[in-house]
Amino acid sequence: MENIYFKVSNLTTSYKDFSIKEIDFDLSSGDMLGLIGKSGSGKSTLIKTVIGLKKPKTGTISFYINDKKVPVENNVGYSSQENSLFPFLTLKENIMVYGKLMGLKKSEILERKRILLAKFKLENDENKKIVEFSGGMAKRADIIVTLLHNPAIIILDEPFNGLDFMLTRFLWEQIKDLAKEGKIIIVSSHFLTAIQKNCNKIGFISEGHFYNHNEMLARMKQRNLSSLQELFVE
Amino acid sequence: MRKITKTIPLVSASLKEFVRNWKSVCMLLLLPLLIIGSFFASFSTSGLQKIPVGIISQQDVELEEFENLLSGILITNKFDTLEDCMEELRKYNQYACIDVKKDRTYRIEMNYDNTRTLVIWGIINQVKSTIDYIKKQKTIEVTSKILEQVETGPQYIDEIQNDLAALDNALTVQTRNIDNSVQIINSGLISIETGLDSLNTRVSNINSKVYSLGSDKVVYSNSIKSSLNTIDGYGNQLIALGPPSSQYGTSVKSNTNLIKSNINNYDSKVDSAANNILLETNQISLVENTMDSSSSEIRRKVSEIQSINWDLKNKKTYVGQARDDLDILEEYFSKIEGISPEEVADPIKLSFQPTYLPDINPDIIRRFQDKEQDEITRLIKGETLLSFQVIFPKILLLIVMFISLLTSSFVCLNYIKSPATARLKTIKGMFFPSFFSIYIASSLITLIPIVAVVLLGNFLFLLPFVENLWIVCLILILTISINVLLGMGVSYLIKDKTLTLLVSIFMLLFLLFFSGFILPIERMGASPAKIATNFPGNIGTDALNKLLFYDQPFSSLKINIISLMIILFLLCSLILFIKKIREI
Repeated sequence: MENIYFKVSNLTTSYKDFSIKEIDFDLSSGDMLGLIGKSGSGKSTLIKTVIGLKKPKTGTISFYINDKKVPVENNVGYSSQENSLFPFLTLKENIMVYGKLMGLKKSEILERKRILLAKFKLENDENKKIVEFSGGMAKRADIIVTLLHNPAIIILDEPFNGLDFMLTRFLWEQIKDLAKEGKIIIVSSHFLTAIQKNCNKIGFISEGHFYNHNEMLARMKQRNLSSLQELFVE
Repeated sequence: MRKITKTIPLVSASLKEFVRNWKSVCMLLLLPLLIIGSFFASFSTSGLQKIPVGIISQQDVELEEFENLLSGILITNKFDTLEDCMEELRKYNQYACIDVKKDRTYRIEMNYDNTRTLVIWGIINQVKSTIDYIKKQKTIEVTSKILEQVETGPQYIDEIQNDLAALDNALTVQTRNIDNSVQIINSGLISIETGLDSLNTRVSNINSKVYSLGSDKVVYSNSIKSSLNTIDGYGNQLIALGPPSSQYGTSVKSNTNLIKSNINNYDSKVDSAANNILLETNQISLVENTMDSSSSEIRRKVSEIQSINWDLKNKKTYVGQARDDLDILEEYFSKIEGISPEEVADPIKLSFQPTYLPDINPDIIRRFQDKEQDEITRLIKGETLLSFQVIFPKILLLIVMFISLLTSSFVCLNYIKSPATARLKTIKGMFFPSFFSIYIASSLITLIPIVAVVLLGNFLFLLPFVENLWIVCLILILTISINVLLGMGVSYLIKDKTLTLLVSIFMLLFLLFFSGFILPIERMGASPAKIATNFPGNIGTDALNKLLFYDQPFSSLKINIISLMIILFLLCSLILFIKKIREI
């Protein structure tokens, strides 16, 4: 298992006239960061900045695999709120296209496809177009493609929106398995209980500030709060 | 290489996305093919629709020929008054009202609806050429009659020529006779004058002899008388001697007296004779003088006759001149006779020689075997095919413009708005592959209807697309690329589907206008015309025209191709810049 380390220092990012300042956190292999905040607080903006889709105003993002600094972009798997797949292509075709775009060999793609389809229980649906998928199937398909190149960091932006309880639980299981494999997971969600339960680290964005796990714990301890819901309500 | 390996799957994905979306297939493939089909079908092979025009004429005006000639493209409707026709024209039921009046000549007044400019000029030209044709026929008719009359002219000239020749001969004979007569008179006059001179001399001789005879008579008479006086003396002496002797003296004396008396008688008679002679000679002299003056008069008159004769001789040159003039007149008549009535009716033959005529493909002739020969000619080499052919490159490039611009906008916006884009953005090095994938996918989608149109042009309209395949492909690829890039540029710039569609339509209208399809470039103002000329569609059309109609070599198309390449390069750079700025 690789030793992965991801550090964000003093990062400031913005979207239109709104910005999030002093973002500081670090994650290691197996860490799961739950990113919480109100709608429009800037979770997606932060994620886009972390994966390189947006340039930060200030700060640094560092990524190390086995103590060797590597670019984030090549090692990140990102699943956006909406499914990022070609809707009129079959799942198999989506896998092949993205596999090729990510620079994988055909044999590697086929191997990864076999593993991931089995893992996410979509073996029998690979020849269906994405438009023919249900919401849950589409999300699973999206995560399959996200994991196709076996990224070290997996970022899932609101992955549970519109999913039923069973599927949400299934997905959490899969995510945790990935963390157990030594991947770094960043999940943004409004499901605070599930975040608190499944993630070992939490990041909270409120009014342009990012509170990392330690700050969150200190804040909850200071205010004698026991759950994230209480913090959120406050 | 890595860029290409990324581009190919993206192109494939874009194409599959396009093909599997029935809406896009309908809107960007089937609909354009349908539109193209209906567009070409609108150019009916049976020609133009017949257009109604009204005719108003007086009872006595014969219009059958006029109407028959116009019936090819026009339907003529008769009206009683111009007002009736004009009322129908204002209701858009008639395109023109032709009022035909006749007094000594025909007067045709054409009232046309100039709000329908595109069609009306065709009608005006048709009416004009019909009238020109009739005018020509009438002129031929009248000229033929005139020329028939002119044909009798030379007969009269020949008669005058004969009369003049006779007159000429008569004058020659007359003048010659006068010359001879004058000569004879002159020699006669000389003889008379010589005779008169001789007579004059003789009269003078007679006169001098008469005078000499008078003086001799006086001398001889005096001498005789003196001798007689002497004899008388002797007689006296004898008388004095008395008888016998006195008898003798008396006889002598009476004889001498008798002699004297005789001498005196003779003298008187001689004098009287001499006087008579002198009187006669005087009369002769008088006659001689009269003759002399007559001779002078004759000589003067002869001189006058001579001068008249000279005049006559000179006047004879007028006859010659008149004959020469008649020869010229005859030649002039013969020239007039040589003129054909058609030459008079239509002295300036305006011949229109089109520089481009389509070849007839034997396969096509075979295909139309069951049709009438006229129809085959009309279809294959006639106006219909020709008008199709000449407009085809422009239509082709308009179709290229429409389809490639709309398709690329659609494909580009599909990419921008695709959920897949969010993930694609996370993959490193996707800037150029995403650009080229849209470009290639749009171009490939565009190629399908364009190839269909090109094949239509090649096999139905007989344009040599296949013969010049590689240059045609080069021109089409360049123009498709430019329009695809324009569509991509608009989409990158706006990013919004509805707005992009609107802007694309406005842009197409703008391009349509500047392609010279609505208003010919030659009729635009200087600056817009310059802009329009340098529009890629027009540069492409120009190149295709040169290639397809006049089989120009690549060297003459070089400037068009280079211009298109420059535009493509500049546009490509601009679109990449927009893509970068807009973070797509």
